[in-house]
This record gives sequence, structure tokens and C-alpha cells, in this order.
Amino acid sequence: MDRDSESEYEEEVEEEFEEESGEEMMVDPSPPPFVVKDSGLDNEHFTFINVADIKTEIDNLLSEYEQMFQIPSDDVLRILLQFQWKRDTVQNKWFDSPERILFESGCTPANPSTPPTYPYECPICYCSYEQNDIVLLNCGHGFCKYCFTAHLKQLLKKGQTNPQIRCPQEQCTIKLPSSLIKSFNEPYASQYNTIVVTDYIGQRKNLRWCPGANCPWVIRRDGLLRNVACLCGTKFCFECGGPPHMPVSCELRRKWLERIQADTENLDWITANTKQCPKCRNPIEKNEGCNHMTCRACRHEFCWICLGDWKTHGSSTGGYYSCNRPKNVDLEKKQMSAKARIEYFTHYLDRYVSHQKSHEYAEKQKKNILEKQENYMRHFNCGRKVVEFLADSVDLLVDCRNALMNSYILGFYLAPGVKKDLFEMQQQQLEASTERLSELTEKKVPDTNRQETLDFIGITSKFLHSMLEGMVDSLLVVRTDL
Amino acid sequence: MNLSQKRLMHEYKELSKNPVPGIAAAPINEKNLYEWEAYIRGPTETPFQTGVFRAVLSFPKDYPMSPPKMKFTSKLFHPNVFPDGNVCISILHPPGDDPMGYESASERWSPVQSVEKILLSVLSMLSEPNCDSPANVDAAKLWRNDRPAFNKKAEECSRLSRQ
Repeated sequence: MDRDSESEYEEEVEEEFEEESGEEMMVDPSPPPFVVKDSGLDNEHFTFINVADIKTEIDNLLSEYEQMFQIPSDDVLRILLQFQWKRDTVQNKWFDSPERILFESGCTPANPSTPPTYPYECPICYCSYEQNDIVLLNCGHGFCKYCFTAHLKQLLKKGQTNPQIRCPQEQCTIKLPSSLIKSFNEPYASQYNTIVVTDYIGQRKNLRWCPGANCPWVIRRDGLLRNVACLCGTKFCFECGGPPHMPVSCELRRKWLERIQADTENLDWITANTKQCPKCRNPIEKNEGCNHMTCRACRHEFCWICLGDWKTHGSSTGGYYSCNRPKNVDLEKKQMSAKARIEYFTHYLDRYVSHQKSHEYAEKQKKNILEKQENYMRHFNCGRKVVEFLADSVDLLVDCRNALMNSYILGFYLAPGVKKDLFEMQQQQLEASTERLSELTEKKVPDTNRQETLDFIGITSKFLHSMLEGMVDSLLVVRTDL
Repeated sequence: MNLSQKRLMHEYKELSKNPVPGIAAAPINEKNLYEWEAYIRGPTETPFQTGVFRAVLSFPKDYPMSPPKMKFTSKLFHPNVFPDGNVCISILHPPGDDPMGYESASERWSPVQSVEKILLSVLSMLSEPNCDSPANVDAAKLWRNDRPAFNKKAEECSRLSRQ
């Protein structure tokens, strides 16, 4: 059968390409300009790279191996893709047997191919073509360029994320060379580049796309910290891509979330917004983030979390702030009794939930901060520069509440020992300082003390960093009796 | 006629000239090449051997770049056939990535595959169910754990298919 509507078919294909190429590709050499702002997190531990630089990194790698192995760049790419960009594996395999690695990577066919005779029948449309209309692969399988293009287009349109695209012939092990894919019209070249770059980033443990919507940045981790604040404003965990949750690891956090989901009865009780004043038994509803409570009826000051007298909490009163350690539980014992286990769990759950709520309040404060800044400027008749501390304080508060919330997961799982003692000391310092910061941020504009707030931003931020950085190593000992 | 219609016409002619033993397949109405019906005789020495099962093949407009869908209209109790009759075998899965990682790309749809290859795969599916990723979990369990009970159900389907 012959084909009378080739040109029509081609036109249709071209048209759709134009539509698609109208959209912005992910490979964007010029990300929007940005302002680096101290986010209260440790951005010196991360480098923000734009995609064009990753592309250059890949090109350098390709030319390095091209020279070392004396093979074309197409083959180098196929080898790197096959072996997850692992330099050691690639080099070892190459020096063991170049023939074998080339075969395993889909560069060379299993059997030598016989050149086709023309006119040649395309195995997809069953039409006959002369040589210049056929795409011939080195496995000997040929396809007319119309079908081949349509096939590739179909793959890319369906969201192909694997850059190793096979020869369409069944059972054939050959992978398409990238130069062939890129020799077709745009957007193939750019789209294929994006797939390769994404694969490269996915295989590198120290690289990750920012999960923020349409964010062009790629983040490289240079240390052990996991909390990233991207230049686009998105905050996330470098390892799991979820919300930032240092100091607890992704695995322990997942375990914890499963556990508290299974235990809704306890959770319902703890998340209730009302408690009684420990002195006069008046019901008290908490509607702000700070845990330093004052009963409206009897003016008694107490801690929302442990219901203890606040006098025993503040460092200013010389008291010892120890609300973060479980009481009445013999922590040194290897095995806790059933009752102790419940008390132990409730202790941490209580504090986790409490900081979670305060975290929500802090987020609310952050949302309304512009309004508060306006009020402050009007009241004190000052400029925009002066009120920056208000935004800084609530930004830091959000990060602290989040860190404290997650620190109670870690505390729950940590086995007793020196490491845990040190951790609880840092947690306690951060908690005390955060409560004070929280109080300061909740003051009405006329009562706001700028200098004291600035001081507490400095102190609290130090405590936050030391707690997070103190807990990054993987040698933490976890309880097994929970 | 566009590419997909030409190809379907070509395949129809080829299948009429060289039919696959045990299978008859053709467009339901020659005016619409995108809807086919197929009659498949159960392979011998299987509990389906007395049955003749009817299925409908629906081709997408971009065939053969995308695979058709296949649905049995006769009741068929089989691990790889959904209770609603849709067939789930690897050759009918679109090319590209396999999110579940069950199948290697070579077993999947590629534009060089054809109706004939699909029907041959269905025949081999009837003889040898694949219970690793079943479409009908009950059928897969029974096939694995209680073959006589499975055979009884299969024979019942075969009997019904001829009515």
C-alpha cells in the first residue's frame, strides 16, 4: 500500500509541536531574579544552582569520558544512563570489557545487522519508502521518519521520564542515541534535555529540584542538614521533600505519624482547646501560641503544657525549666512497664501537639505581619527598615515551633544516654527562649519592645541552630521498647 | 484515510487472508474501523476449551502509536481479566515508563505490535494466567490455591459463552 497523505500527516504533527513549544520548558536558562533573605535556616549548607549549570556539568562529564574512552558522546550518555551516572561502576565496567558495557548500555546490538534493501517497508505503517525517508538504527531496524517521529512524540507527550528510549522493534535491546532524538524538531531536543537533566538530578544523592510550584532552582546539599529554605520561599526537607522536620529523621517522623494516627483517642483528648486553671479550676481556652498562661479569674501564671507554676519555668525567676522531660518515668530502665509506656508516650504526644498548635498560631501571626508593621510605623512614626524585626521575629518563631514540635518525636525515640541528655538540654534552652520570643511577638503594638525582641531573635536563633546541628549525625541510638 | 485507518484496514485484510487458528477478528461495521469484535476459542487442555469468547477491541485515533483496549463481553473468570471484562496484559499497556516496575518495556505496546500479536498474547494468557499482578484477585487466589474450584468456574464461563 502506498501513502498519499504524508504531507497532511506531517503538517498535523508540526502544528501540534508549535502549540507545545509555546509553553515554557523546564530547562530555563534564566530563572527569575531573586533576593536572598536570611530565612532563619541554614542556607550556607545548600547551594542553589540553575538548570543551565547542571547541563554544563553533564556536558563536561560527557566530554571527559568521550576523551578517556575514545567513543562518541552518544555512547557515553547511554552508558552513564544505564549505570545511574556512577563513575566507579562505569570505569570498572569499561576496563573489564568495553564490548560488554557497550552492549549492556544498548549502544551495540546483540547480533550484527543486515543492511535493509530499498524500497523498505516501515513496520509501523506498512508503507514503502526510499532510503532518505527511513530512520535506520544500528541494530538494522528502520522506521519511516513519519512514524518514528509520531512514536517519539507519543512517548514524550505521555510524560516519559526515562531517558533510555528503546528501539520500537520488540525484543530489541538498542537504546536510541540522544543525537538522533535531538535531530528532530523542537521541542524534542529541549524536552529530552530536561529528561536527562532530571534523571541526573534524581540519581545524585546531593541534588534535588525544589518542590515549589514552577520553581526553577536545583538545590545541592553541602552538609548534613536537611531543612532547606529555597530562594522561592518554599521550605522543605531535602531528603523526603515533605515539610521541614529537623531534628527528627524522615523515618522516625513517618513512624510517629503512623503511630499517632492509630491513637486518635489520646489525640482527641490532648488536642482539646480547653484545660482547667490548676489553681482555681476555671476553664481556660488557649487561642494564642505562647504556652505561658495567665488565668483571667485568679491571675495564676502557669505552663499550658505541664500545668505547673510558671515560676518554675522562667530563667528570669531562677527556676529550672524542665517541662520537656517526662516525670515519674524511670528513664534508665531498659524495659518500661505498660503504664509507664503510656505515660511516656503521652508526655511526648502532649508536647508535640502543643507545639503543633503553636506552630499554626505562628503561621497566622506571619500572615498578619504586614498589618502589624503598618500599625507600628504609624504609632512610632518610623520607617520600614525599623519594623523588619517584627517579620523576622515571627519567621523565626514559625521555624522554632516547627523544630520543637519535631524535636518531641526525636525525644520520644531517643534511648537514654549522654546524647539524649545533651539533646534535652538544648531542647530546653530553645523551648524557654521560644516561649519568651512568642510572648514578645504577641504584645500589642504600643507595648512592643524592639530591643528585647531583637535580643531574643539573636539568642533563640543560636539555640535553634545548635539544637538542629547537634542532632544531624546518624549514630543516634533509638529505643526499641516502644 | 489517515494513518490509523490505513493501518487497521491493512491489518484487517492480512488477518482475513491469514487467520490465526482459533480466532476470528474483524471490524464490527466496516464503516468504523476503530471498533472490532473478536471471537476466541478457549485453548485445548484448558478449562476454557469448550468456550468461544467474544471480545471488543477499541482503537484510539492515534493507533498504532497507542494500544487499543480490549474487553470481553462474554463472562470470563480469569486472573488477568477484570470482573467488567477489560483485559489486563502487558502488551496492551502504553509504552514508556512503568510506574509499578512490573513489566520490562520490551513486553509492552510498541507501534510495531499488531492486532494479531495481541490476540496471540490473549491465547497464551488463557493457557497460562499471570498471577503476579492480577486484575481479578479472586480468580488469582482460586487459581493458585484451589485449582479444581477454579476449573469449575472456568468451565461454567465456557458453557455460558456458547449460549
